[in-house]
Amino acid sequence: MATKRSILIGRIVSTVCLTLLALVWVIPIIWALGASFKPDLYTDADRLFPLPENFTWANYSYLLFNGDYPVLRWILNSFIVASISTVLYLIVVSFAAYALVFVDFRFKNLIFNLVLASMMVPGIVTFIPMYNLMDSFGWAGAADWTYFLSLIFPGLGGVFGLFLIRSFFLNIPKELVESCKVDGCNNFQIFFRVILPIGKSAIFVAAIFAFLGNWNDFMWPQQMSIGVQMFSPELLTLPVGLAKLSGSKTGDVAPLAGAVLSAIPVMLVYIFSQKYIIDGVSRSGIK
Amino acid sequence: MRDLSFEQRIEAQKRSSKMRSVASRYSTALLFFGPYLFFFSLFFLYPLIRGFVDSFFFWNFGDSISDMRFVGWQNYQNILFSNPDFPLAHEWFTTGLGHTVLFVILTVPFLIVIPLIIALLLNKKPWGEGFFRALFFLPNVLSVATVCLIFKYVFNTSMGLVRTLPYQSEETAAWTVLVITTLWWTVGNNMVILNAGLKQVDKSLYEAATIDGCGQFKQVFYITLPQIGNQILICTITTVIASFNVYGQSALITNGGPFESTMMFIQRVLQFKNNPSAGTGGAGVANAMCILFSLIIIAISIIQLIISRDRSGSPRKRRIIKKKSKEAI
Repeated sequence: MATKRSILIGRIVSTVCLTLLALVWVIPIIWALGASFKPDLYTDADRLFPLPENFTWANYSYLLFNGDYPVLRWILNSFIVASISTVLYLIVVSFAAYALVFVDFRFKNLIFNLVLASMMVPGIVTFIPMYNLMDSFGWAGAADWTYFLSLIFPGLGGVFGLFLIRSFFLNIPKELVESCKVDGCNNFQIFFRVILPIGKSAIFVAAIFAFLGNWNDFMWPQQMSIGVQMFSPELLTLPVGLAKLSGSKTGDVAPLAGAVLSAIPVMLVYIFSQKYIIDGVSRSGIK
Repeated sequence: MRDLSFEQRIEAQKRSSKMRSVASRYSTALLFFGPYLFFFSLFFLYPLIRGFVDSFFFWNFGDSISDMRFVGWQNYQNILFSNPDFPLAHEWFTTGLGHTVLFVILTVPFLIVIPLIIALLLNKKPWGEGFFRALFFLPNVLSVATVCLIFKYVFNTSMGLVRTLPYQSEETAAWTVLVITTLWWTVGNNMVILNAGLKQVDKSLYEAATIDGCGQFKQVFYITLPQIGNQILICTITTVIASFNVYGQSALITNGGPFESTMMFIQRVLQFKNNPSAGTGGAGVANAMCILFSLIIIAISIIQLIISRDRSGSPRKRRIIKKKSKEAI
């Protein structure tokens, strides 16, 4: 009886504490959303939302239709780049994970440990040679769409998706693959007909992470797009475009509307795949 | 063939089929793993090695290989000891690294403790547990550009939500804003990892402790924290690495200011590339800076791993414990 009561008290106390904390987390978002509907930052500055008579869509229509800042184009660019790179990455990585789990070859574990160790190395170390490599391909600093290639390909050497899919494949019994082989299937047939259908969920989780990672990446596209930033800003991806947006006249809240617009696509992804994302993150901590 | 006995022929056939199967295994491995290995080598191994080699050369961005001049340890000497011919190397390395280390010190403790508190609260089964977890994780999926843009306005000194932190003119205010923004953005990640760890803790431990008269707070310190030691370690290592790699927040919110007091290491490296006033030979220096930087990070990660190993005993001891627990099952 006493323990039941203490559990109930625990539930009440934790709910109250978390509600207070959640407010701290939510208020910046609500405030930004509200301010994006104000004509400028000075109107109704002490309210979360503007008064009805001051409410305006002007910031959004400015961003969407004026053409000074092609936010919709940026969203489209980000979407194209992130989608292509995600699809390519998944193809490369799920084949690799299959080989790592179901095919025996020499130095397999050594190679995988080497790949894992690469996570410890900070990205900036490879940045300068990578920049030069992209430069020699003619991708870096190009003032046309070819610079997209520099945003799509370098991610294909990434580790996280491989790690995630491999750890899922490890749970598939090897006897399954062996019995398929006895039945006369080759590796491609086993991969496409048996392993992929089983591993769908893991591949989906890896897809979300690959997509969000590419969509949100900032430093690399910023450095790759220096030529584009100057000559054809409509080719920028969203985060780099947003960074340019923030530097206009004081009190102008159009950039906040940009921030809200930029958050909508990821929010949609998050709402529909929240369970998978959180599951993927918690798996990265167990192992 | 005619001279071979029946057994020998069988043997030979076995051997050749074994060889064929080895060959097919390796061709499959090459087909399946080859593409990834190619991209990993091209986009990680090659740049890593190339960066190391280039750090021993005097060169500039845009140089061809023939323009590069081997200078041995000169770049490293310029970085570690002030050289009047190239003062920026030492200055930018020490200040950039200093600011980054300060950022790590300011953020990492909060990024462990706050997620831990939230995870512990979530573990008390509040109403709306899933909602709270999803909410605290939400900022994580936003881009650094979105987050920084929002917080630039939130901390706007004249008309923002919080007007008491003049981050464009005062150092402490700038640091506070950077830390708060980072916390708001990334707390959810560790919260999810720690929360998953808490769910794995054996409930009977708590029951036993309650029977022995151990209070709620004592249970946290004597049962919960030791039980999720592994997750705390993983969080600490990944958070330290992530905080060392800070770039977006200081680039977008404070732009390294005021008076370059929040200029991070990565910004300094990029300055060698993008800022002509960095002087000639900057590319080699930037390479060497990065190599030193990654050595520091790898060393810190290894030290953390060693400390954790001491805590849980030697690997041999752990194997024995594992074996025993298996037998017990």
